[in-house]
Amino acid sequence: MSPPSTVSVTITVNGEAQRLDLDPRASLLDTLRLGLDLNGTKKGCNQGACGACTVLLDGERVNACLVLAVTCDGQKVTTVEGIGMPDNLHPLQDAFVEHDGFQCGYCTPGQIVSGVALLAEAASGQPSVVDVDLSPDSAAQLSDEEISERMSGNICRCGAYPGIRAALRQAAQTIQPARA
Amino acid sequence: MTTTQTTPIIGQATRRVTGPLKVSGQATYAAEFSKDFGPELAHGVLVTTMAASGRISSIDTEQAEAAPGVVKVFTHLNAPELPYEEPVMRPQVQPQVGDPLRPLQTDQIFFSGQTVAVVVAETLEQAEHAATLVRVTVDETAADTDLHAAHQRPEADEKQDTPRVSAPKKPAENGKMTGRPSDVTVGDPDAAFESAAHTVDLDVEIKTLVNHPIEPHATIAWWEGNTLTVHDKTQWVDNARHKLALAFGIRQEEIDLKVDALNTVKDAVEGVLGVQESSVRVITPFTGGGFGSGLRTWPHTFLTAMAARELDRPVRLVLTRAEMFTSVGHRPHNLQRVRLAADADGRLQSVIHEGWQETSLYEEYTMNLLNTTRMAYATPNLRTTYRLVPLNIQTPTSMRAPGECSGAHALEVAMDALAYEIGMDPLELRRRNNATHDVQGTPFSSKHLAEAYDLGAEKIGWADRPLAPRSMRDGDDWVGLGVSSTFYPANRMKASASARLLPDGTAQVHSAASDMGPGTYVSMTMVAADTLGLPLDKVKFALGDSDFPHAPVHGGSMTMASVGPAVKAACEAAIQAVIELAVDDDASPLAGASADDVRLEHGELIGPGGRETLMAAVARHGEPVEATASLGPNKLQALMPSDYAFHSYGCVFARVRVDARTGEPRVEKVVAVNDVGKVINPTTAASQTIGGVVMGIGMALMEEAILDPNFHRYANDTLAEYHALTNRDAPEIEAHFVGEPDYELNPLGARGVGEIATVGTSSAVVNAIYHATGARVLSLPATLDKLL
Ligand code: FES
Ligand code: FES
Repeated sequence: MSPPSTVSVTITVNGEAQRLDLDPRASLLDTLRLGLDLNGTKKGCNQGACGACTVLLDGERVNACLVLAVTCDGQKVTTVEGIGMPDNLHPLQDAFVEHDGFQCGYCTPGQIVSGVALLAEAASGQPSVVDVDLSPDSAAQLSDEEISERMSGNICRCGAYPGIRAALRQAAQTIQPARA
Repeated sequence: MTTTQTTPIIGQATRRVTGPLKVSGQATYAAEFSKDFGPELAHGVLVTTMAASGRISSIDTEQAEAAPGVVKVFTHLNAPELPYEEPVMRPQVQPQVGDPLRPLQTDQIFFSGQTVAVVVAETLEQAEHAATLVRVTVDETAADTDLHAAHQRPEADEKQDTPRVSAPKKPAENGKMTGRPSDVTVGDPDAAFESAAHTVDLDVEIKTLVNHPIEPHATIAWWEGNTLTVHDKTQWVDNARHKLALAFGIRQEEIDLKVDALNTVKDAVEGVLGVQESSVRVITPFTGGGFGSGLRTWPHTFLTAMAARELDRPVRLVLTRAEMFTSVGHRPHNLQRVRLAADADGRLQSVIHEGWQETSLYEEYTMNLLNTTRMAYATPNLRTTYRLVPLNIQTPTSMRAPGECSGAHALEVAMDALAYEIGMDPLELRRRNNATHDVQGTPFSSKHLAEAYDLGAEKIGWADRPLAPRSMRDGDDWVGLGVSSTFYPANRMKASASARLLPDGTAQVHSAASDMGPGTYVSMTMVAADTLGLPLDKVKFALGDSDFPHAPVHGGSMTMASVGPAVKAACEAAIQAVIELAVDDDASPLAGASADDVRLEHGELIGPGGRETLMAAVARHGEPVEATASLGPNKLQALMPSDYAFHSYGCVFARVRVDARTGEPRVEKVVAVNDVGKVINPTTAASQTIGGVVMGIGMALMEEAILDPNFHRYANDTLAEYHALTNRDAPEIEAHFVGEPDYELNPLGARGVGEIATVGTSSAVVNAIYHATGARVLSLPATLDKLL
């Protein structure tokens, strides 16, 4: 068989335009980790089941392992590195540290990106199965049940869920998410 | 003037020092060292077999080799023969009987999912694609994975080719708790059972569970001449180094590590033998969970190092989630029969606990399945019988509280059933049988279980619980409260650490320990800072490098109890070295004093004639002051002669709801109270406990690797179908601690938290389900079909 040709795309990653010649089989996740050395986004299952690879694609959370990178031409990707770095943490990251919302830390970047997206989703009134009538501006009043439901795409095998909920609760009070 | 710490650090709730790195994704896990290599890094992908038994008759790699980017396809036909030398003494994490799986060294197939080839290509996508092109044909023989049928077959005798059921071939090293004797009998358990006022007789089943850390196992290996460096997901860098050295026949390393296996300190050995440089080095600063899957060094690690050597370039190999089911061990499927007998007052008269557990055909994996039963409750008569059943599966491995978790589950469910048989409150039954010593009569070092029962009962509201099952209803739900005791042996082994005090007022402390999540980084930093009288931010603790002083395995809940005292001792030795310098230094206010008369208090050296801070003395010295120390027993504490039996104790209370219409069980609240001796960091100890409870709820309600009886393969080998608890499944969880420092075990008084946190939760949940519904679930997981 003939070698697959590469495809050139431009993806804006954390605000920086990246011109990439991609194997069409490469996932967005592997492109970030192996192509751009952005290892903050984790690979837990490569099958859309664990959420470790969660990134924002044009502002919406996606499992980067399920996205082919070549389909992201012209799109904007935000990874955990774009949310906050150790010397400049996002308030949600701070809240995770404060409430010990992790142990091994491997699922954590995915949880953080999911959490940031969750706050924006709630603020824009996106419903969940817990509350199909969520009104805009209700991010700050999210119940624990609502937070758990919306965070259930991110598995934490270390079982830090209560701390994750506490961190989200705190961040929901303090962060004014950008309206989607 | 340098900064000192005037208030205690140990015992204070302290944030993880690794927190900012972890929440920003900047903690580097094994596979992520790819960033250190350019395109030189090649990617390995495994090819596994569908067949579960037989011999490889052909393996066609032609298409794969022709695929773009493929560098090489390794199979048993072209892989180099590796020495895989036997260690002088096998570490506890390795089965003592049988030989490890050595893929590509044989054509024999023992189980479905076994590795038969490694494809190495320039990119991951190329390797993944080429791996699908390898065609493997197996001359299949009948496979057996049916534990129910196999455990009933007659016990193996010498004449049988394939033993079906057997006692452990190398049982207990002595009668101690850590041993795995085939049979232990005290008194006359059968007669006592027959004549007792109340009895229960239960058959309990626990299906295969898989560790599934979210970080998949991964290895990056490269050679520089004869020197191998590896980043490997492991809970024990020293053992990985040892195993790699033996596998590749690196003699110098072996000499070093043979002694190491006997627990002599690495540094001392290097000093004696003049070994300056290691020829194998394993560097793993962060381990993304493991729960036991990282104790051993698995075949893929050797294969990656082999490929790197053959290709003379760095190779990276990461297991897929499906491979995580069949490459790095699992908690074995087991069947248990528990018979309990009590007198009219609920005092145990007889305990008979039998267990049958699967193992592989090539190794005898043993675990402490029945050990808890031999120490949990006071009973004059007892028998435990432990049998192994070899099947066509991979060798199981330790998964958080291996053995204890399964065995205590069955015992605690039986205790609940006995309470109902008597008509007694299940908590009261446990109180009445609370033991002061194990069945061999050895007293416990420090036990505060009664207080744990009191506190837990108060926190869950036990007093208001009606005894009768199916008596609490709330809307559509049956509601129930359940309790379980929890036990885990406290262990300790020799560990070493180095402490280096720098003229800039900071300290560096090193040990080849690991941190798969419990917070080794922060707790060791706390111990060091506390000992040195320095603020936390002046101490940098590093781990996960086999060039650091030796540490025992990061498992068995013994890191805190082993490495903690070594860190403390290394810091104390460094302090002593500074004192020696200061009393000899005319510029010091301590000049001329006897070193024995100088002590450290809150970071200040105080002598008869004056005082100065520890770090001021180091600064004046102008050069780092360094010391190493090594502390602890040469073997597992539990195998050492001792006046005490060392354990942790606790209880778990669960409140569940079961939907009366659908049978769906949900856990609403869990209270876990543990006596683990001294708690070094309440923050991380609570997180460990909560994490253990979460895993225990998963075991109770949903986790199960389902073996297809025809293909002998796990049918649900994804994280979508192997159900681990999600956030919405996780209830409110309270973690409390009781007790006091256990200085009989070690100078810190800490016994460790990691495993006891998991024991007891599954039984508390299942007992609560009984209370809610009247349905006694004996085969885990308690899925809704069992409750309708
Ligand atoms: S790695 Fe993408 S969901 Fe698990
Ligand atoms: S912190 Fe380890 S998996 Fe979540």
